[in-house]
Amino acid sequence: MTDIDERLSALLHSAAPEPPASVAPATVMDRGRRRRAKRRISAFAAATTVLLGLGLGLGLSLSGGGNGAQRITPAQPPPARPQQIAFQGVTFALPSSWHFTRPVCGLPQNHTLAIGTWTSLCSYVPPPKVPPVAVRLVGLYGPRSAGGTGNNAAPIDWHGQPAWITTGTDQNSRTATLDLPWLNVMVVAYAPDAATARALLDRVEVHPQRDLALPPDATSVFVQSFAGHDGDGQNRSITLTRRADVHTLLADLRVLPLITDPAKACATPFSPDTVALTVHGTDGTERTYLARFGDCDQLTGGTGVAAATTATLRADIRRLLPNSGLAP
Amino acid sequence: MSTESDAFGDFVAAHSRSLLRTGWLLTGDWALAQDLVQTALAKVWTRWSRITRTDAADAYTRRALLTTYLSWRRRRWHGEIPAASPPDHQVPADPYAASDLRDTVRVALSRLPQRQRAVVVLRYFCDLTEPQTAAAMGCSVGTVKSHHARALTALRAADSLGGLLHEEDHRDRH
Repeated sequence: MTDIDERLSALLHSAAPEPPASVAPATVMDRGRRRRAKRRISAFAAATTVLLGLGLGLGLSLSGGGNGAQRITPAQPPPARPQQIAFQGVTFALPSSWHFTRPVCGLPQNHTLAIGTWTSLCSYVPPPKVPPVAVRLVGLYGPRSAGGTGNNAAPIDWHGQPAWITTGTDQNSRTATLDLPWLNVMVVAYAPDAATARALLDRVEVHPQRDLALPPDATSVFVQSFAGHDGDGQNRSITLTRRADVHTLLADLRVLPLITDPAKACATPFSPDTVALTVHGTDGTERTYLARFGDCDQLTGGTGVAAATTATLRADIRRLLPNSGLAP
Repeated sequence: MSTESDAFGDFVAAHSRSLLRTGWLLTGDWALAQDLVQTALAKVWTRWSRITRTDAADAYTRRALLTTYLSWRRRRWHGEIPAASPPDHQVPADPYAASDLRDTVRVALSRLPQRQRAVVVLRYFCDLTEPQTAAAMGCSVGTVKSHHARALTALRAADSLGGLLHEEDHRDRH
């Protein structure tokens, strides 16, 4: 802790006054009961509305729409193969009765595939009474970047990709999580039991590329260092737009030796000696590479391969971002 | 049921002081702090049997407090404000403020955006680590770091609190 940290902590502790009254448990429990009753009434009202709507729809269809017009029955499509939903080099075979959605707060809805990362904070959402069977696909660089894989993560070769499977519990659901760090994807399967959750992961296929997919040329590179200590107030990022600087970094990235053996993937959590490089290609593409120094010396960009970092890349980043905080 | 009620009553008795102080730092107002804590604890009570099974009542309550606070701020607060009797005249913003320091901290915190304020309170009053803060707020550690750095910059620049922090810096150097 720095002096400022200690001082601020002391200020808050001495400034927060003693409460004039405590909280009465009976009042809280009463509020909880009212809250639960309100929710039940809302759920009942919603269910009633749905049932009324269904009844009305059924009545209309049986009476031919109520206006004497002949009802047209659409031809039933033949059973289709599961729809493949793609996300960052991963596809998920969507069961026919499922649909896919944007991320929602709380557990995903039953029989849904939620794709992407939350963009805002979530209020507490109580879990449904019956745990859902659902899957969530999210990028790894966001929420998982600091923690790495879970404590009980078991390494596995996932169709040639390095992967870790973690089992756990989220509210009343059992989860099976598949981390695919070289593809920058995490797949979380939810089910009432662990076996069903794990079986859902078998619907995941990987489609790696053969290289780092660097654009032929770039207009800029955004460099963000994760080094430094907590609360140092340092801005450790820069957007490089000078042609010479951009070309220097591109050249450094192009010569990195590729790693394709999944056994060589890093199993350690990210260390602070990590830098994200977002390359904005002149062709309109944008890709973020994560260069990890120190703990594993590898760079990944979500393409399905990794590359060994070099001293030249580290030196150039330190030169172009003098405030990077990277160790020499 | 009575055992559950008793256990919950013990939990509330043991934690309400610290929760209320946290609520005060977040809202700067005793009435809002009381309502915030009651709402959060009411959410906890509805899930009490499951929470106690996972032995995570503390973390769950903290998260409920934070999410309630942040959702209030998003909705610009339309809930009820409990009061023993309706005020018939304007009351000071903080009738319990006992010192200039308290008011200084309250004012400085009130000028921070809600999430920065939450990070400062969780890190420096609740003494949470960055990962714990991120878990309580439901965001990434990187986001916490970002809010934290901005909040510190703002607090240092604040006229009153910044002066106190710089004064201490100066004293430390000599």
